[in-house]
Amino acid sequence: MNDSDLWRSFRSGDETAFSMLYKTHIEVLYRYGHKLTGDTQLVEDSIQDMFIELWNSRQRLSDTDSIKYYLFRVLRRKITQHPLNRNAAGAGAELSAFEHRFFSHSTESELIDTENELGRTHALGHALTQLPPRQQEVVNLRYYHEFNHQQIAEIMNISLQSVHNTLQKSMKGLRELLFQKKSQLLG
Amino acid sequence: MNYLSFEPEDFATDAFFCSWVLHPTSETEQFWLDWLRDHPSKARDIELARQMVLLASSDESEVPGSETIDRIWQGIEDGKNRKTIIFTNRMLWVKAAAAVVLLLLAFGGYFYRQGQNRTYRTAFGESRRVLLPDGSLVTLNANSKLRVADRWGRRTEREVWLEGEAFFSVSKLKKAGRSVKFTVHTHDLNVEVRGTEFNVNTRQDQTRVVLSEGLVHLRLNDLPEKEIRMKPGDLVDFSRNRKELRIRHLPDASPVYSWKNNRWTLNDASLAEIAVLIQETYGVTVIIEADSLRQQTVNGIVPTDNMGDLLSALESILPVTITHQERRVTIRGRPD
Repeated sequence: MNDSDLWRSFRSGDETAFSMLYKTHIEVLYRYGHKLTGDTQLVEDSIQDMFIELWNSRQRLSDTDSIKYYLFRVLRRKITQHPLNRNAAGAGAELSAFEHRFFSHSTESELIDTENELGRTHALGHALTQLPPRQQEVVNLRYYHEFNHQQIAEIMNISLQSVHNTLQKSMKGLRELLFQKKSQLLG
Repeated sequence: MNYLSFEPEDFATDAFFCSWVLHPTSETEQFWLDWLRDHPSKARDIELARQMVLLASSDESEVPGSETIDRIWQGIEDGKNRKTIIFTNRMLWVKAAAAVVLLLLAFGGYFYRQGQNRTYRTAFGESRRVLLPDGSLVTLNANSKLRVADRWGRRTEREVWLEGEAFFSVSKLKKAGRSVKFTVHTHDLNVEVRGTEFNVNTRQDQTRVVLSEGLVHLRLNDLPEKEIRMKPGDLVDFSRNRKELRIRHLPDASPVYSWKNNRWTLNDASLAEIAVLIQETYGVTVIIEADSLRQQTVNGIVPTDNMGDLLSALESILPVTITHQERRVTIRGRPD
């Protein structure tokens, strides 16, 4: 069943379609939620509320051919505007989650690097977390979740041009980080 | 699209390039390998861009456990207006029936084909795909031999013997409710799996196993009590003659078996190592004239479906001239 059909079945009140909707998207939603906030409870509550609201308002929803995109847009709004989100007020609210992850990782990653041979995996994995938070989110949406530029612009509520620019900048940054890591490993 | 003026970050942000790296299809494979053949000097940039995309597509964030998934779902169920669930989905039954028919057809074919003992061989410079009776797919690299046990269907185990190199994509098989083991025997060890993807190479007086997906158990010959469990990305080298066992983990294992897509992904490979690969694959003798050249390293993706293309790609990456006469390939330094 493709997304449009599944969505239509769900909107017509099909409970099986609804649980399928949940099962197939819970993991990506949970992961993305944790990129937006370090608060697990907030992520779980937001996902729960989102699905309850979806069910209750199903007859009023419009068609969609990408459920994941639809859900990401709603979830991001929910988390960033949640009253319990301590960072909700002010611009750049959701960024602190990324920063938090980055700082808590850096010392840990040094330990891992010296401790075992697998250091390189971690060293490279952490290269991503050295990008500025907004770049990390755009990169995650583009390369991990594989949304197109237009969808990313809508999800994050930014302009198409700024998606382009942010991606270009992120990749330049990654290239430099790859070079640095490589020379560190060789040197 | 004029890719010639592209920098690595331009490739890495190009949708067509990304789809090749993340979900290669025969169409994208064809395009990029042809493009690399026409522009061998871009091999390094392409490989760098590929690594950037792979890195960008990684995600180390937490995955919800099944308890968490159930708990959230319970909350949703409690929160929404309750309605009784009625299964009126007739399509489900049609699908189930179709699946049973397919299964019967598959097993009919399976039993029909049992009782064949076959050996598959490849010549130098040749690779081929072998579909086994259980649906598993083996890609056999050049100069290799795969023997498949006879009367496979009656055995409780699926068994093959390998000399050379092959990539295995083993499908899960259940008989009488129990999953049937698939075993690859080599001179050095046995690779035991249920359903998974891995590469086995028995050249150079050792067996190298690299796991791409799933779980693998290794049993070393002469040391049957020693069992090694491998996880995806693990690389194991074992030589019975030299009594050597080495285990490593690779951040990205795919370069090891990129040969099955007619290319080599070289990451800091020395020219000496590449020379050995060329000898094994094409059955030629490779001579590197200056010792200083042997340690020269190469990064990039090079096409391997014929040796001529491969050699000219190397010529454009390294400051060398390569000549090929009869069965002898000579690599000389080229003054810059």
